[in-house]
Amino acid sequence: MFEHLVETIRDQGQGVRAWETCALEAATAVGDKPDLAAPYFLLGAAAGRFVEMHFGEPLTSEKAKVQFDRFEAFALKLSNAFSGDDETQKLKALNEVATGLLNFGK
Amino acid sequence: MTISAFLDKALIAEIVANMLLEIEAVHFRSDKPYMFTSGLASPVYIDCRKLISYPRIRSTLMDFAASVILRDAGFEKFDAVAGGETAGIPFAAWIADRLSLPMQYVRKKPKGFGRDAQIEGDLKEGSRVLLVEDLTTDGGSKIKFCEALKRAGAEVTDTIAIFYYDIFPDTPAKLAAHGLKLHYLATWWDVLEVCEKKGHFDEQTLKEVRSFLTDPLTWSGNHGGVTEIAS
Repeated sequence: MFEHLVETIRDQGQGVRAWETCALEAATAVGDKPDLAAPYFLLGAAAGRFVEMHFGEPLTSEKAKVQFDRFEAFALKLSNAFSGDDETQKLKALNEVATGLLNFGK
Repeated sequence: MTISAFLDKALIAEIVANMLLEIEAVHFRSDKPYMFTSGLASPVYIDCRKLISYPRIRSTLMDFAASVILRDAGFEKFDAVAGGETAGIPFAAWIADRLSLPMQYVRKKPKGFGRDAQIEGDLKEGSRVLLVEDLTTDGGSKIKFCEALKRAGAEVTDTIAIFYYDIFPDTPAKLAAHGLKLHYLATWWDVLEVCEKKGHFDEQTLKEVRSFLTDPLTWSGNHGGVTEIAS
């Protein structure tokens, strides 16, 4: 469901520009898919946070991979929750990802 | 202030390379490569922002920048100087001061709406603006800042960076396609030459650096990065 955001980052080289494209894609999806607005908003916020923290800074390939893996995990968690009909699971996934954003990108 | 000393470009480049090494703005690391915004893996990183904290160095650098612009672009070529957010701003301010010109800065993203949404400061319609940034890798950010200035009514034909990576042969042509001529003070090749001459860093590190500078896409691909830069 949200794998396309992960693919955008992966396919465009995982540098800050790739994350920037992902953030824009997620922001657009918030408007295009209102039933999935909350997960797209959180994923967009994660990508945006990465860009803010690392634009113009000495980002190592190692750190880029760690954050990419974390983002992929967020996307998978939200995909699994929002693929079903259990609203409790959806809310749980949103809260877990939101909490994870607190130290995302560092 | 009048600029009247015009040093040889090679001498400027050597002095600037020495300055950057002296303040430890140059970082070489091949075991844990850096990643550029494009996804390129690199053993080199330069922090030109450190220059602002060294008054003697920055003053000399700004004299160099002004002299290069006056000599290579012209004495009456510009009506204003604009810095690209963020690191270009202080250098633009000092260059504007040296050239006795108005200054603006260009935001990375628009604030609000309207054709001036990315420009801070007063910009007159038709102004011939010199764009300033701290460094240039593939020219991508310069093109974006240039487009923002043009949308606001400026004419932009020249840009200057303190440091130019000079690792992608098509960068000048890419900038020229947007009507931009690049001026700069030093490149990685100048830094490498000083390092090799003065024994900065060990031989293996310098070998990796030279390998990267010679063929950055191959080096990047071999170290987990992209093998082509998206346009």
